[in-house]
Parts: sequence; structure tokens; C-alpha cells
Amino acid sequence: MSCENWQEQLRRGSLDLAILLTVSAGPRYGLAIIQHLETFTDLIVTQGTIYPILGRLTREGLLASQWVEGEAPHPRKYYRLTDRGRTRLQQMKDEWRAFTDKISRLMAAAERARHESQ
Amino acid sequence: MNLSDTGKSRVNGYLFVLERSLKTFLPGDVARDAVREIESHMCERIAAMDGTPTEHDALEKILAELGPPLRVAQAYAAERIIDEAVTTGRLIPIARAIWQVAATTLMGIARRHGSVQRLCCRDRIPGCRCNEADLSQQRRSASREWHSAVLRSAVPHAARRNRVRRLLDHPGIDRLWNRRAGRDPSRGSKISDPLARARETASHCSALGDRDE
Repeated sequence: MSCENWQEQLRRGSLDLAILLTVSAGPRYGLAIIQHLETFTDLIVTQGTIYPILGRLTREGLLASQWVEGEAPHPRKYYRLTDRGRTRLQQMKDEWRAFTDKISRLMAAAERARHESQ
Repeated sequence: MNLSDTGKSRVNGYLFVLERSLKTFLPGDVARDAVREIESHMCERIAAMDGTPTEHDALEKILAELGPPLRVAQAYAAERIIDEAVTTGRLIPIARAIWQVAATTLMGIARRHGSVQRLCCRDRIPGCRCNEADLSQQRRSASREWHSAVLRSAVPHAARRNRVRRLLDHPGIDRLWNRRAGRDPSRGSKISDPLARARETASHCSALGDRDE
């Protein structure tokens, strides 16, 4: 597998967590979520593919959506985290930390072994 | 930025293609809601595009960042159909998911055509002296590689490939297949070859392909 493919899989695999984190602070509409993600990460390559993920997270009951009119010249669809989404987010954060710890330990062990062999 | 008639036509054309694509697999109200959301996104971006020299450049930039309508529709299809089948376990969503996977698999086959052109070296090398056992091993290995490549092409996302595997293991698949083939599962009839092959493909990917990646 090329490095680009690996990066792509890593990016896609972490998008759910990134989106849940983005809306955890308060309700946001689609473009605001995209802009927030673009400010802090480079996870989004094609903006249009975020909306299907938002739809799936809503169907799974992790997000709730609502159209809001009158706030801007056009209606905006806001997403907020549900109780179920908050629980899932906590599980994902714990899992992410545990995973990165394991990989960091592996990398440190590999570095140590490399130094010892030199 | 206020759009000219040309700009509006470009936006409407994009939304038209998106809506038409979405309506082929999504219920009408869901498709309309999705288009409305994309339209809202575009309006927001257009309103904020005051600094760009020309309307044409601004619009093309917005649409390029959003992605081609067919790609956006494909992303909706992938998220929607397979998830629905896995979560509900109902026969119709499962059948639609299988169709979706089958359709994209055809594209996968087309894309991957040439990666495994020959099954064994006797087919490639004139005068090859391999014995039958070696040739048989090469054919099995090439076949596994081909199946694995097809599934990886069809379902590039590893997590989603796992969902496809779960889908193939779902009891609803057996019910669907037995019903289609007019069989009574209570009599202990065996799953026919095509389904067994699909499962074998998924397990090849699980055992070989994904680990190779």
C-alpha cells in the first residue's frame, strides 16, 4: 500500500471522531464544521463528502439536525451532539488515546532498538 | 457576491445533476434535503466570495472544493446503502447493498483490469516448464490476488470492507439467497457457489489483502 493510500485510510478513519469533536462544543452548521476542520486539520479533501457522513451520524443517533431559517439570507442545517453521541465521543476519545499510546510505545521501542544496534 | 444569470445556471446545473443522481437511490424527501443542504453551503460560500476577481473563478473554486456532483452522490450512496443494510438486516436494503457493491465491483474490475492479466506463467511465458502442481498453485494465488484487488477497488475504505464482510455473514443473506433460489433453509440446503465465492473473496481480503496493505 502506498503512503498516500495509508494516509487516506487514516484520514477517513478519524473523520467521525473529528466531526463529533467539532460539534461537541455546541451546534454548528455544515459549512462551519468544514471550516473548523480545515482550520485545525487537513482531514477534508472534498467538502461535499462531509455531508453524507453528517447524515450517517444523524441516522445513527449520534447527531441531531435542525433547519434554522432567518439567521442568514438562506436556511442553515445545524447539527448538535445527542446524549448517545456524547457517550460515543467519550468512548472514541478513550480509544484514540489508548491507540496512540500503544503506537508511541512501539515507535519508542523501535528507536531504542535502532540506537542499541548502532 | 450576487450571481449573474450565467452563474445561477452553473449552480442550478450542479444541483440538478446532484438531485438526479441522489434520487436514483435515496427517497425523494431525503434527496431533496441533501440538495437543500448543499445549496445552502454554496449560497454561504458565494456570499463570502467578495474578494475574488471574477464570478467565474469564484464559482469554479467553490464547486471544485465541493467536489463533482456525481462524486458527492456516490459518497451519499456508499454511506447510506451499506449502513442501512447492516443496521436493519432487512432483505431489500441488503439486496440494494449487494447491487451497490456489485455495480462498483464492475468498475473495480475495469479499473484493476491488467493488474492480474495472466493466471500462471504458462500463459505468459512460451515454453514454460513448470509442473502441474506449480501451475495450480500459481493459479490459486493469482485468483486470490485478483479477488482481493477487486474488493479493494470496490470498497477502498478498510472499515467499510469490514462492514461488507459482516453483511455477507448476515443471516438475511442466506434467507435472501435461499428465497431467490427457491430453497428451504430448514432442510439444510447448502449455500450455492456464487455466495460462497463472495464470502471466500471477503475472507481472502481479510486474510491476505488488508494485511498486505
